[in-house]
Amino acid sequence: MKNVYKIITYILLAAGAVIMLFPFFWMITGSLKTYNQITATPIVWWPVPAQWNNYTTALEYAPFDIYFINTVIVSVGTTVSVLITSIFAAFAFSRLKFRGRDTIFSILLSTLMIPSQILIITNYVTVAVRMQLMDTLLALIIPFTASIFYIYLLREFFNQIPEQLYLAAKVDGTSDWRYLWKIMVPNAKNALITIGLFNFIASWNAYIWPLLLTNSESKRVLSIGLKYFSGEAGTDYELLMAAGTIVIAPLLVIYLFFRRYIVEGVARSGIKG
Amino acid sequence: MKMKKILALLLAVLMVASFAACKTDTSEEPESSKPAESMDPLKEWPSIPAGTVLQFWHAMGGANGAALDLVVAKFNEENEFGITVEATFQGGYTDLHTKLVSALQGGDIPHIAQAYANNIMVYLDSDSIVQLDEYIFDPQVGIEDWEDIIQGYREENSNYPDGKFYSLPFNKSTEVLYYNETFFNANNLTVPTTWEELKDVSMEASEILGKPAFGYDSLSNLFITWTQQAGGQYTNNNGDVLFNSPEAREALQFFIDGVEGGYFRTAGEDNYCSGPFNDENLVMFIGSTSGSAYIGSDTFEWNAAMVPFGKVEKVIQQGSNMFMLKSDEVGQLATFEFMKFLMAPENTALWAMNSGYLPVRDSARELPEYVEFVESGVNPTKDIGTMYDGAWYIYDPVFKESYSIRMAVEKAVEEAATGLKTVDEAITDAAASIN
Repeated sequence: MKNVYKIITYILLAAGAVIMLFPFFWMITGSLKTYNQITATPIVWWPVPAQWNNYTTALEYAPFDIYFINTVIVSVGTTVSVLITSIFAAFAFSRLKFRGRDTIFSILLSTLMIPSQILIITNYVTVAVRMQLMDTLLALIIPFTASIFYIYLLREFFNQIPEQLYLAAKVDGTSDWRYLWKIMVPNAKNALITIGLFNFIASWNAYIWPLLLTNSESKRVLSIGLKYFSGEAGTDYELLMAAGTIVIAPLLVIYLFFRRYIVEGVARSGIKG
Repeated sequence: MKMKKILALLLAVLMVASFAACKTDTSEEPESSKPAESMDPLKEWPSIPAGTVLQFWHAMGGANGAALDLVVAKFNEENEFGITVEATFQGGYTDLHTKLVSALQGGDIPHIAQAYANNIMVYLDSDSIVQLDEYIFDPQVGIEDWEDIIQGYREENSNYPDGKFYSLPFNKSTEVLYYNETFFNANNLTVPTTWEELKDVSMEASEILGKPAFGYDSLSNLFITWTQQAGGQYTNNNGDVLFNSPEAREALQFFIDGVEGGYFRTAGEDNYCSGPFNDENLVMFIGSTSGSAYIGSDTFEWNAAMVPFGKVEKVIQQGSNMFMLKSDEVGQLATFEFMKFLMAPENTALWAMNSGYLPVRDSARELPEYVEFVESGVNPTKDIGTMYDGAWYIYDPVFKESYSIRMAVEKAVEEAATGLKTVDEAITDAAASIN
């Protein structure tokens, strides 16, 4: 009986894995097909011969090397700043006592309900017109240096660290600053890695904001490069898939490297232990 | 020595005078909305200083983007004014639209951009679009052989509330009938030129094929074109719905009979008919000339023909236009020079030969290089697409809800084709959904 249960579990898990992996399979095989093979019915599952030249063709469509460097700068820039602001804000909202703390936090939380599309033009006016940062990488970083959602996530995590630890540290004469970096941050390592990764991935994939704020090739990012393959009359799917594979490869590597922390981070901050 | 001094002095006086002239010129005309004065014998145009840089925002990616870069590079090299155009890809049409709407809030706007007429209507509200009549019809800087630009394109680009030109044709395409030539030859089929023939050939081919032989890519185009081919009307500039008519019902019924009879089909989940066409799951379809790059297979030869007509010869014109945004007098004049260049016969031909689009002038197709290109047979749509009479072209009249109406008629065709509604219900509902 126990074995049957186990078998069912594994079948379900395997089915889930297949569903999750299928898009990657489709993308990678698609990148090696001809255009006709991609749109063909019945489906061509495994292209023979593989069209490796799709990769070289795709890379010629746009300066992907420059886009890659810019994307790394922007993603690392926003991730580092989001981590710093989130740590400080979450610490303040979970440990420090000050007047109106919960009210301020509620107001911040309520901003999560505003759809980002609505903010686009306002942000554009602020960053491009008022701050005059049009066509700079800084413009792609500045609006994303803090995130209420991550502050909320981290605050929940900080709240789980027993208050007694804080009080004990206080009795020992530890400053808030020291306590934050010696106790809170090391304990929240998983949560921080999760936040960092989520933010990195979101920043890596961001499209409309970088498009709005940049004009020159030298300031653009990878996601814009992917748009070169679609036109009004159709899409060069094989090239798009090849470029897509190249664009997400670094993300996959990072994700695989940190996946243990992500699962732990999500599990611990989501469920109250 | 003295001579030189006097000369220098004279020059200096001349320069001051010309500067002053420039100054009064600009202060007199802060906005170019002033109508061209027919009483004025000759308008005084500023001279364009060398080194003028223009920003051009476009939505041409891939091969079309490369073709545009080619034409822009030619302009930058050849133009006598020393103007440099910087063309920037801004994503798809929707992305470009978002970006323009944002930029019009006070950001940096380009000198020239590309858009569909219904989007240009949105920008008109911002008062940032230059009315082009005073440039086009000016005896000095205007376009001399204006009538050479295809009639349907001229009509579309003055199809604004005040009947003035706010845009000019840029990347234009139309619809053609694509067919599997190998299949047609093997089965002794002739290419249909009328609705009746289309029906007969489709029935015959479907029998051989065992599935619907004919497809139509864009269902809204189907409705708009066939209604007018049946002698009916679609909408007008005031936004009046004119398709709640017997002609529209006849057109839609003709298609639905084919769907129910198993010889016509929609692109459906394939999105574009080119997929099933390449797989030989259908042997002819009506689609945009701009999609020709996606057609072809190792297993058969394909060709293109004019679309079959109903009672009236009508065919849709597609693609977008270019428009000018307000800058200073010099910038606007330089922009117009660039627009003229793009529409010049040899350049619109060069553009057509390298992109997925068609020349915007009648004379371009007569140019030796274009004739040679067409005769090389690489792409039959480059020939067929230029064969339509300029007066046959139809376009969507633009007004606030023009795009919603297009969506509504597309939905009507879908609903009738899937049997959700009768032809009559579908058309009545589509007409009612707007007013």
